[in-house]
Order: sequence, then structure tokens, then C-alpha cells
Amino acid sequence: MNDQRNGGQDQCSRQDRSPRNTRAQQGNTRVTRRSVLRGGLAVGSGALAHRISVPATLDAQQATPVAPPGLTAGVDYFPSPMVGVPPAYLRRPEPYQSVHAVPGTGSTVTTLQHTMAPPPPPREENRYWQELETRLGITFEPGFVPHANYDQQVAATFAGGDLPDLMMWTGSPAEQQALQQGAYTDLTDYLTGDALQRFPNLANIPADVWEGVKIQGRIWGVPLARSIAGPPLMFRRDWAEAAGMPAPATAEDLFQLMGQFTTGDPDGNQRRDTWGLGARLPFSLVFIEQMFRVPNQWRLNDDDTFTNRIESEEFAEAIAYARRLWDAGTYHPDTPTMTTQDAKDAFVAGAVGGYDDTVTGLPGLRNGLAERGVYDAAVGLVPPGHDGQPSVTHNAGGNAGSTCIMAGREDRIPELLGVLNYFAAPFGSEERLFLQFGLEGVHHTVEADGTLLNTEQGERERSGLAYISNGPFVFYHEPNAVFSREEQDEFTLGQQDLTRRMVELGIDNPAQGLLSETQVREAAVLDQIIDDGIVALVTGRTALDTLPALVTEWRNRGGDQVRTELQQSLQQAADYSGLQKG
Amino acid sequence: MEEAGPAAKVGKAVLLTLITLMMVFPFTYVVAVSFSSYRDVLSGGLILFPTNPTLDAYREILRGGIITRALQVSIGLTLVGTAINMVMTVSLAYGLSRSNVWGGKVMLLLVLFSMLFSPGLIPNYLLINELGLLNTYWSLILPGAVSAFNLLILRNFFMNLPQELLDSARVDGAGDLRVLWNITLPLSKAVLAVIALFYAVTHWNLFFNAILYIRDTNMWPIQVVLNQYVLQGSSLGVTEYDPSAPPPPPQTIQMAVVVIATVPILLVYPFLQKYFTKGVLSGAIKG
Repeated sequence: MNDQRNGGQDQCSRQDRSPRNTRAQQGNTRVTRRSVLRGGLAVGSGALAHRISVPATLDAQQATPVAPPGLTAGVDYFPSPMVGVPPAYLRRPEPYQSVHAVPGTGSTVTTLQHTMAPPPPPREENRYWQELETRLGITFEPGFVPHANYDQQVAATFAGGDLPDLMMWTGSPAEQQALQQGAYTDLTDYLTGDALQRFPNLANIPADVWEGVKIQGRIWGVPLARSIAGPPLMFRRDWAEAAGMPAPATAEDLFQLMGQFTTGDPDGNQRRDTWGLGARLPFSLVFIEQMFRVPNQWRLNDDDTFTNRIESEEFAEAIAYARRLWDAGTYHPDTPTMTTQDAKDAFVAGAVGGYDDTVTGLPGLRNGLAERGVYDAAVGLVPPGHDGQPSVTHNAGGNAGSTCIMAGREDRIPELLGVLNYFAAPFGSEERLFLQFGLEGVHHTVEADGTLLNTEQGERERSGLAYISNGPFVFYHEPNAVFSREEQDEFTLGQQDLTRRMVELGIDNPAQGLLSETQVREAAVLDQIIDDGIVALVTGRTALDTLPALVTEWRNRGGDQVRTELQQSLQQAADYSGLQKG
Repeated sequence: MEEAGPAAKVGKAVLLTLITLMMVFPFTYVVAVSFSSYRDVLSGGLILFPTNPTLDAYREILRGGIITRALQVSIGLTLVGTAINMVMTVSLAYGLSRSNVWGGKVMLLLVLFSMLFSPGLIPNYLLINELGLLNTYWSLILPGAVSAFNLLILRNFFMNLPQELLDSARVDGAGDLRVLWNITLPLSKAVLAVIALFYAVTHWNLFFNAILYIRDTNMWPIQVVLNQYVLQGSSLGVTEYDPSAPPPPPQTIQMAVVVIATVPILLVYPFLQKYFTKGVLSGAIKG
């Protein structure tokens, strides 16, 4: 439901667009579980030498260090080259302290959070939970709701009136309504400018991620940071090289290459069992749209009106191209009904040579192919412009939701933000090490070469406890039995480079952060109309010249209403920033 | 009835075999996939017998004692819930099956009304909230304590019992409760077993109410917890892992979850089989 294809009301739109299949990235599992501490330095004395000493009061905290302790920029640490591109680490930094005072005052903090993990053991049997409470200085009472049912639970909670301190935001209708009725605390004053510096880890979250979480110009929650890069095409480079076309530069090139994948027997097993394209979203259309420079959901015209992407001429071209691909048989026959998992499986199994996915999906594919003995095969392809000129990429929201503080807790806001600040500890900090690996000897073990290994108790006890906030996204991959240090280094830098090339071409969704009641209410219906229409057009069930009829239907069923409301919302947001400046 | 000729017999046998295979096949598939490894899943196609069987999916789910706790919760809920259900349904049905009970008609109308109209999600939640039952097991047992449908079946059955039996018991000096316990209930074993089974299965399948009313994950019944394993399985598919020790693929986890969720009920069912076949017809055939 919180599909990024919605008009723009879910400013906290998730990175993965497929409904309900959110990549529930716990901040602690995105990065691999093993690490190698730099050199031979033991954690103890070496780390102490790199610690920054600050007075232990809440007000006088220093920001987290710019250069991670023990690393050298350009050698094993590659800072973010531009806004929207995460930094890349080739080693773990020396663990440094990012939180210098216990944030809590002994109160009880209740949450309502969605989870995709099995429930953790109860506090009495859970050392991780107990240790977490000690470090935070609170009694932590998380309320878990299965991810898929979160919207209903939230609606019921608002009706019941008994709200927890912290709630995760997913942009559902009930939440939007509650927001406008004042159930949430406006955090803008606490989280901008100088006030934000009181929480160094929150200040460390990139500005573009904060932008992505604003609703009509105000901040209501702390974001769960993700990368904003749009989806490249996951691509079998080995097949492309064998076909003699390692880097398609135009739409025509791609068409030829996909044809080769389908008919040219790229895996050499003398069987017609490969296809060019699979898809995570219908027909990998988002990738094709990027090639044809279709707007990212909406285009903001000069006169402050919105044009939806399906109304644009570029969209018609993109659809026509997809139809060509379908007619030529280059799509896998299951494509119209493929789920994300199906697409990944098909790619790893060698049934398709390409499908759209986010940059963060690459490691999983690389691992899967490695299990089958295929190496150096999966790369991300930046969309080539259809005419050879640069294309665009569709920037995502940059977050997987946010955590909000409910109204009526004004006196506790510094404490609650302090708690979230702890959870947002960045990669390389001591706090992140605990959040991700727990206590040494109990939740993880340190191998002879310095690698950290989660124990079974660690994974079980951690569960989804620390999910409500996480630090900024980084690229880092541990060496393991399959990939050596050098191979991981190359891969990590490759990911950062790919993200940079995607973000350089990125265009934002101008409706992000704007509210439209109709969009939220009618999202299911409107999305269905568009999705069904796309499937019919691409597979040839309806002629290409029926696209205007589809657009008209969408407009009549609520599209125009959404447009009007978005334009009003834009006006409100502009009024607010006008107030700010004036 | 005359005996069918050999051709017809063979035809029937073939047809019945085909139908049986069609019924059994999905379950075989579920069990087969639950024992499959990543290789089997990736090779695609139909898995009737995994070439590389493994217990990985089950190990993944069963470790850590979380499932054990959830099973205890579910079994407790089923036993206690069904007991309460039966006591309340039997007593109400018996009362309504007697004529000339004061307020009987009103009661019956109320019951019928509740069967036709349902208040919806939020009013139910508000009710549970106001009663202070949020985050307790009672919120899962009390709201559905009497199912109108089962009540009507039972009432109908009681009404069809021979009146003479009950009268003769009365003449011998038995009170109403005595009649119920000594005469009516022994005659109703079949239908009681069926109704108990209906209730038990409903309790075992508790999912949505548990999510809505219970925030404490220790009190989550088995279906909710298993659902989380399925979700985690699909989310595991997108996270990074060490390729030398990959997690079991999501499909196998889902199938293992299905097996674990249905095996307990499957174990109970054969013992109630004979009552079930008799009970299904109750209320349909008079006299």
C-alpha cells in the first residue's frame, strides 16, 4: 500500500516499491555480520588512543568524527562524493564513542513498531534487551505488530486512544488523519539548526534523507535512512560480453542485447531456457521509463501544476518500447506476475539476464550466483538514454519510514530524541557495534583473525528490538569464505560508483512530502487501474493507442482530484516556507 | 442395487484414484518443498521429491524456543477456549430448545441479530479496550464465546430429541440440569464433537484478533509467530548473507511453516472422525 507510485503522500516512502514487500532492513543487517578489525590492533588499547574525549553532559556533545578513527580517506575510507551517495568503507573503523551520556532518565518508553522478524525472548530471558535498557537508561516496552498488519493496528490504536510514546510512520490513511488532528508532535524546532546538534547521530543523517521525511515542510519523525538512488538494471555482464555488447548505450542496443540473451543461448547449454528480462515491478518498466526520461511519478510544471507520469509523452514512448520487447519474446513468460523474490530467483538461476532492482540488491544476487559457481557476473546497469544522451533516474524517498513522537509528551522530547539518537549511531561507532552484534562472548564471538560472528543467542535476542532507528546508509562488505578482502573492496567501491552514477542523473518526485487525501484513500483503486492498464498495453491485449483512454479513466476515477489536492498541498508548503523566511 | 459390471468398476476406480491424487498432491508438494534445499528450489519446476533433502527450514524455525512458547499459548487457548465455548453454547442451546422459557424468544432474536450484523474492526476494538481486556488472553476467548451458527445447530438438534425420553425422566423426578447431563448430552455426542472441533479449529487458527488485541509478543499464538517466520524468510531473501552459509530459501520456510501449523490439528482429527461423519448430518435428517 505504501508503494512509491502513490502520488506523494508517503513522504516516508520506502526504498523498495513493491507493496508490503519492504526490504525491512534492520540497520544492523544491511552490513554483513562479520568484520575484520584493522590490522592487528586489539580493540582495547588501540581504540582508546583514538577516542575523542568530551565532557559527559548532554549539551556539549561533539559531532561524530569526520574521518573515522584508524582509517585514511582515499585508501580504506571513501567519503560520500555527492549528496545522496553513501560513503564506502573497506575496513571497519576503530570503534569510537558517539553517545557520551546516557539519554534516558529511568522512565518507561513504549513504542508501536512493525516487524518482519520473529518475536524476541521476553526481557527476563533476554540479555540483549536488558543491556539495551541499561545503556539507554530507560525501561523499554516495544509493541510489535506484524509488518503486513501495521496499518490496521494503527487505525485501531488511534481509535482506542491509548497511544505509545513512539510510533513508526508508514503514511497510511489513519496516520495522515491523526496527523492533521494533532496526534503527533511537530519536531521541526528540535531537529533543525543548532537544536539538531544536540543529537550528533541524528545530525549525522544526511540532509537529503531529512528532506525526504518532511510532510509539507515540517519534520514529524526521525527517518530510517536508506539510499535515494533509483533502480538500475541487474545485468548479466558475462552474457553481455559473450554477446559482444558489454555496454548498451541506446535503447536499440538494449533491444538487440535482450534479443541475444533470449535466442543466443548465453549460458551455452544448448537449451532455449533463457530470456532477456524479468521484472520486480511490472515489466521492469521503471528502468525503461528512466531510459525515456519519464517524470518521477509527477512533473511539476512552470505554472505550479502537476502532470502525472502516465500523461506524459515520454511514457507513451516507454510503453511502446516495452511492447516491442514483449512482442519480440524477450520477456520471461512469467514476467507479468513475478514477485521480487521470483525475479531474484530467476536471475540467480540464470533464467533471465536482467531485471530492475535497487543497488542494495546486488550483494544478494552476487552471493546467489556465487553459490552456483558463477562469479563476476552481476552488475548494475545505469539506464542508457534511449537516444544515447544521458537518461534520468528516479530518486527514491531515501528512507524506509520514520519514527514519530506522539503528542502530549513535550517534557520528554529531549529524552526520547536522545533514545532515537542512540539507535541512530553510525557505522563504526561503539554503539552500532553493540546494536548490531550485542555483547562479546554472549551474542557474538571474535574469531582469531578478528572477524565478528553472531551467535544464535545473539540473533534470537536482537530480533527487531533496535529497528526504530538506524544510522546513515554505508557500503561495507566483510570478507568471507567465498570473497576475499580484495574482491570485497572492489565490489564495495563498485557499488558506491554505481550509486553515484545513478544519483548524478537523479530527478526527485516533486510530490514527495505533499499530502493528498484522495491519493491515500483511492490508492488501491488508482494503482490497480494503472497496473492493469500497463499489463494490457505491454502484452498487446489492448492497442497502444488506447493509452489516452487509460489516462482518462485514471483521471476520472480520482487522478484529477489527486492533482488538485497536491497542488493545494504545494501551496501550503510554500506558505510555510514563506513564513519561515518572512 | 445391482452390482456394476467390471468395466464400470475399473472406470470408477480410475476416477477415484485420480481425484484422490489431485487432493493429496498439494499436500505432498508442501511437505516436499519444506524439505528442499536451495538447489532444488532454484532448479525450478515441480518438486515432488527433493534431490537434496535438508532439515534447514525446520531448524531455522524451531530453534530458540520461540515456537515452543507460542505452541503452549495456542494449545492453552484452544483447550480453555473450547471448554468455555462448549459450556456456554450447550447451556444456551438447551435453554432455547425448551418451549415456554421466559425471554426465550427475545434471546433467540438477539442471537440471530448478532449472526447477521457485525460491528466491524474499530467498534470491536473500542469494546475490548473499554472492558480492559487489551493485552490479555480473555480478549481472544470471550468475544467469540458463543457462535450463533453453532448455537442454532445445537438448538435444532436438542429440539429434535424425542420428547418422551425427557418427559419420562421428568416423571422420575429429574430436574432440568439432571436431564441435560444424563439424558441429552449422551445422546448428542456426535454433534457435540463436531461443534467442539469447529471451535477448536477456530481457536487454533487465531491470527487477526491476536494481532489486534495483543501487543506483548510473549502472548502471541502460533499462527502469528509462524507468520513472522514467513515474513522474515522473504525479507532474508533481500538481505546480505555469507554465501558459504546461506539461509534456507523463503519458499521452504513458508512450506515448513504450513506443515508446523497444520500437523497438530491433523493429529487430533482422526480421533474425531467417526463423530464428524455422524454429526455433519445432524439437524438435516429429522427423527
